[in-house]
This record gives sequence, structure tokens and C-alpha cells, in this order.
Amino acid sequence: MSAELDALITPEMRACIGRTSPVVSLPEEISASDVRRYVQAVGDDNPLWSNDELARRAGYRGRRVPPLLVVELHWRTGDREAENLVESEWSGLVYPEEFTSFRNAGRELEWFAPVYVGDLLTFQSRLADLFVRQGRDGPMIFTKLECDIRNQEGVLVARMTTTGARMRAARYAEAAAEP
Amino acid sequence: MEQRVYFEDVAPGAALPVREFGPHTLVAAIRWAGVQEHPSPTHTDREYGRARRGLKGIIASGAQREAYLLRLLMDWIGPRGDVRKLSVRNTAPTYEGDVMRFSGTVVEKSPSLDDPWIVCELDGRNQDGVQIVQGRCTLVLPSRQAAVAPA
Repeated sequence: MSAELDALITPEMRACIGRTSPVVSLPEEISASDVRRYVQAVGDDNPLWSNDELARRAGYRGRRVPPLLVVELHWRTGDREAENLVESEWSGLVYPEEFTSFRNAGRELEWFAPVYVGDLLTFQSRLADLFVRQGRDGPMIFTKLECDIRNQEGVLVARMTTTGARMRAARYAEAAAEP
Repeated sequence: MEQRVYFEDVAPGAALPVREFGPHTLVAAIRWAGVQEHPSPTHTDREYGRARRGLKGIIASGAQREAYLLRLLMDWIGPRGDVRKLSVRNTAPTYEGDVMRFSGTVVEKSPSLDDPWIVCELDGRNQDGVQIVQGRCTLVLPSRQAAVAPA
């Protein structure tokens, strides 16, 4: 990797690695209605999400909250767009001036413990990594954000690691795969 | 739903069932937006995509596609299995009217019954055979020998 590429990440930017956001809570506990609307939106008729007895036979306390819904609840905390998450006050990360074009470069989800209706989840993000790569259309500055999701007992139930990429704006709109 | 798949039953090379979801509709996108509480116009406003992003119209939320993919996985592993990890790379959009055809292959298996994980490579295609997503997951399967499932 060239020195010129490396220099895109300044010491001030590098100092942001490891910083964490405040812990943010869901506005209310997870409800049965949340689960029902998720089930209806994607047609997920898995009885684990609706049948307490079957869930208990499988070793759970009762019906589970679908794993993906656990993660998607993060939108309700108010920490909205991925690009704002990084540039918000908690990280202090500032990109080079012309790097305004943002792309979601993927995410990895991990689950550690089951979640149930009535749980109150909290979310905390950490800037885990910052690196630069030469992309097809120019240099790209990547961020890796780890969001830890805990329940009301402090148990880590899930983690969402989001990779974002910033680059200089293209001259024409590109058909991106995903925002 | 009985438990059908056990750790002992699968080996690297085994194919997951192929499942097709969709076709994607604006109504499905709106329902998803209601669940997600993240009203991104890319997923719900046909004109926004056309005007701002050079798209044909709305595109499905990546997370919504992951939700369909998880239906395949969770239904296959049964109530005593669980998903530990999922990573999905978006390679092409899903537009209104597109279907999502998901498949996968077991590529790795834990050497120990004490930690009965498997890793699968995942693939998603649309009705034209174009790859829409590529992914990887770690699943846990119950063992026929275990008395109780991990909770």
C-alpha cells in the first residue's frame, strides 16, 4: 500500500479508533406486536417466534424474538444513518473534505444469547477499525463499527459489525447495490 | 416443528434446501419499513431511486433480504438449532417484482460435539440468475446424543 494512500488517514483520525458511543436504550421494551409485525412483513411462520410450548421444549424460556429483529431494533435508538453514527460527537472522526460519497460495505451479525418479548435492549457502538484501500474508482476510507447489544441484565445478546466506505463523489450517479 | 437436522447428519459439501422468496412488492417494503422504523426512501419511494440513484425504482432493504435468508436457515436447522453468525455482501439490488432464490453449502464442520457448529457459504440469485447476495453463516445444530439443546 502506498504512503500516499496511508496518509489519507491522519493521526487525528487514527486517534478515534477505539472510541465508544454512549449506551443508548430502546424507547420501550420489545413487544409481542413488534414480533408479530416482523413475522407478517417477511412471512416468517417459524413457530419458535409464536409458540411458547414449542420454544420451551427446545430449551428456551418461551417464544423467542427473531434474531434479525433483535438487530434491526437498533434503528429505534435514534442513532440513525451509518454515516452519521461515525461523524457524530462520540467518535470525533472527520473525513478529508472531498470524501462525501458513502457506501454501506456490508455487515456481520453475531448472536450470543436469546432475546424475549419484554426485554429492554441497549446499544453501544465502538469505532473498531479505520483503513484505506485502493478501489476501482479511487481510494476508499473504510470504517468498522461494532455495535454491542445487551439486555436489561447486561448480557451481550448480539453484535452488529458494520463496514462503511467513504470516497470522493463520482461525477455521475452510480447504481449502488444498497444504501 | 420437529427437529429434523442434527449435527451428525451434515458434512462439508452438503447442500442446504433452496428457497425462493418474493416477488418483492412495494407493500412488502412498506411493511418492512414499519417494522424497521427506518423510512429510507430508497426502499419505499419509486421516484427517489430513479431521480437520485439511477435505479429502476425501489430496491429491497438489505436487512429485509437477510430476514428472508434467515427464514431458510432457521427453518432448516429446526427449533433446537441456532444461528451464531451471519455476514452478507450485497452484489446486486432486488427490485419490485424480483424474486430472491437462496441456496447454500456446508463448507466447514466443528471437530467437536461439545461445540457443534457448522459454517455455510450462502448464495442469492434473482429470476435471471444474477447474483444478488453472497454470504457466510455459522449455525449450531443439536446432536442426536445431547439431552438438551443449548438455550
